Amino acid sequence: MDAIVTYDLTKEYGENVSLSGVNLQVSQGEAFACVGGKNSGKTTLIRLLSGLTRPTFGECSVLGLSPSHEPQRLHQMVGTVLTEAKLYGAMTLWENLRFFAGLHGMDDNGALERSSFLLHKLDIWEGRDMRVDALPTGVVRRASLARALMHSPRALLVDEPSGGLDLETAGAIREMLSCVAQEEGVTLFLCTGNMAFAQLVCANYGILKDGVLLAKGNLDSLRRGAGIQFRAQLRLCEESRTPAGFSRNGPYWEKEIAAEKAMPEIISRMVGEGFSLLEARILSPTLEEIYTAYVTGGRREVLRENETGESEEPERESDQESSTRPEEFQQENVPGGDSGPASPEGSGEDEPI
Amino acid sequence: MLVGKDLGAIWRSKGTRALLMLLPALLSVGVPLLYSVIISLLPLEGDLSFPPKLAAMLDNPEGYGYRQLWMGAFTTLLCPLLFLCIPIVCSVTAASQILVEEKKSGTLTTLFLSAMDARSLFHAKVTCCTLLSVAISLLSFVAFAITVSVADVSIGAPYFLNFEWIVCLVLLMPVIALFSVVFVSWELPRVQTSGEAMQTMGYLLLPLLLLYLVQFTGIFRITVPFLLGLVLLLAILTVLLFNLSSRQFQPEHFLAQPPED
Repeated sequence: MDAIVTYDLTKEYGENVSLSGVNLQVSQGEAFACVGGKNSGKTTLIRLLSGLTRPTFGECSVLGLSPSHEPQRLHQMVGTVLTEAKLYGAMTLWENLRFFAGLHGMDDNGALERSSFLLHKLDIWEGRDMRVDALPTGVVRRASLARALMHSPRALLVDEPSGGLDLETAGAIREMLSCVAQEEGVTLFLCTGNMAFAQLVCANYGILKDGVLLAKGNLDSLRRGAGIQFRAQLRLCEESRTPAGFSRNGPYWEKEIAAEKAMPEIISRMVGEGFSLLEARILSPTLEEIYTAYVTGGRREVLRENETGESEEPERESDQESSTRPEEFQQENVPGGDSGPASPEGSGEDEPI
Repeated sequence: MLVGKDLGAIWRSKGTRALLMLLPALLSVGVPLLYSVIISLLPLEGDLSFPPKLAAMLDNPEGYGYRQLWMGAFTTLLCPLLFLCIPIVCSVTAASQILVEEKKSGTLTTLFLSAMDARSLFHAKVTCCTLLSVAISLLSFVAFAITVSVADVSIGAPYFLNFEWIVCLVLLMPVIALFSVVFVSWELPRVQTSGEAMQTMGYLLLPLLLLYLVQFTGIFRITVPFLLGLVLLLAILTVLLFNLSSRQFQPEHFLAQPPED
């Protein structure tokens, strides 16, 4: 069953279109991240899913409930972390958690037990009796996450979980998110500009730019959609000659490969040709590289090359094929943009809406 | 629970706490005490005549002296104005603290994300502000009654409590308290700071000031039927404004601006 569904979700603030025709499906128990830069519509998406604002067009549901029409029932089952949703500065951390637990109908014992668990897990136990306005930003951000998890929600919507935070705080938040996703089966929906953080926590991603969902899927399908290949890196003896087809990158010789399975063949060929191979490794593209390829139009260039037959790389051809296969990858129509031959229908690893 | 938290928030805010204690004390004890002292210092000899137009506005002015009449005029014609300022001041101060400050500090958004629906939130906050305002007004009245009673006895003035006062205390004061809270909540989407919210106090105080001061021109006299009509009018306006504010108390109205990302 899908935990989060959006259909043609659009939000306009006057003439400013914050989100445009977003179609998404997130299964229950899945960890999904929408990544994007500034003004990409991430916070608007969380606002819409949490019922803080109503869509201009389209609709969405979380755990089968409409955020616009059933916000109270939704908030009983969903936790939301937004940077604009603050804790009471004049109250202690402990008082804040107990207060919000009370609003969710939790009794004192339940609230005490849950808050103790969360404060320990997030490593902010020491600050429990301090006023929130006296706590450092990192602790307050962790406390906001604790507040959203107090009532043991079935889904968690988080906006910028790691934005502007120190490594320790980001690490604690990442651990907590992974913990609730794995141990409590919570559906995670993150919106963030921190690609590395998203890659560590989530398995599936959506790429947002200017309020438009450019693509969604898992890392592999997005990689193929972006036309980015794996890279084989070899470290050879200093006196070795230049291997054919490789370019130098620091101490390594580097070459793009169509698939991981091409690596053994490269290694055996190099050894067969008499190269002294010290190290061989495969570099997978990061979410950040894939995101950059999408937003800078790198993917379209690859597709154009494929259409004109200029490229003889088999992976690029398969990339074109994969981009039109709805079961593997979905390319959303970009208004006013050249989105290539990609299908507007279908979704990466998800069912089409 | 929410009411308790809001009352705690008001108590913790030094500025709000001071305003809610000092201003009612000034209006209910300070000003009447000062006025009583001034009256007691008025001369008793010479050509002393109480303005006949003012005397006409008093109930049974016959048989009272110069000082007594001034004291009677003060407690009957001016003190209700001072007293009715208290629920307005308290309601607006409380509402600006627990509605506007919460909006400004982002905690209202957090409340909207809780399992409590927006309407219940609104009702809880309005109830909290109104109850606080009514409680402070009642305490102020007790303090005022003691002060003025002592002054009346010492000066020999007619006792201040009459039917107009009873209507003011029992009907008009609670309605004004509720109306003031609802008025601030109606303004909530438009105001950004508690300072701006406090300015709305002017819109509420001005009609009251005009009402009582115009009385001195002799155009009309504030009587029990007049006060009952005023209560009815305010009650109708309060119900209308309450429903309107309750409907607009949605996160959508407070998040009218697009987020940065």
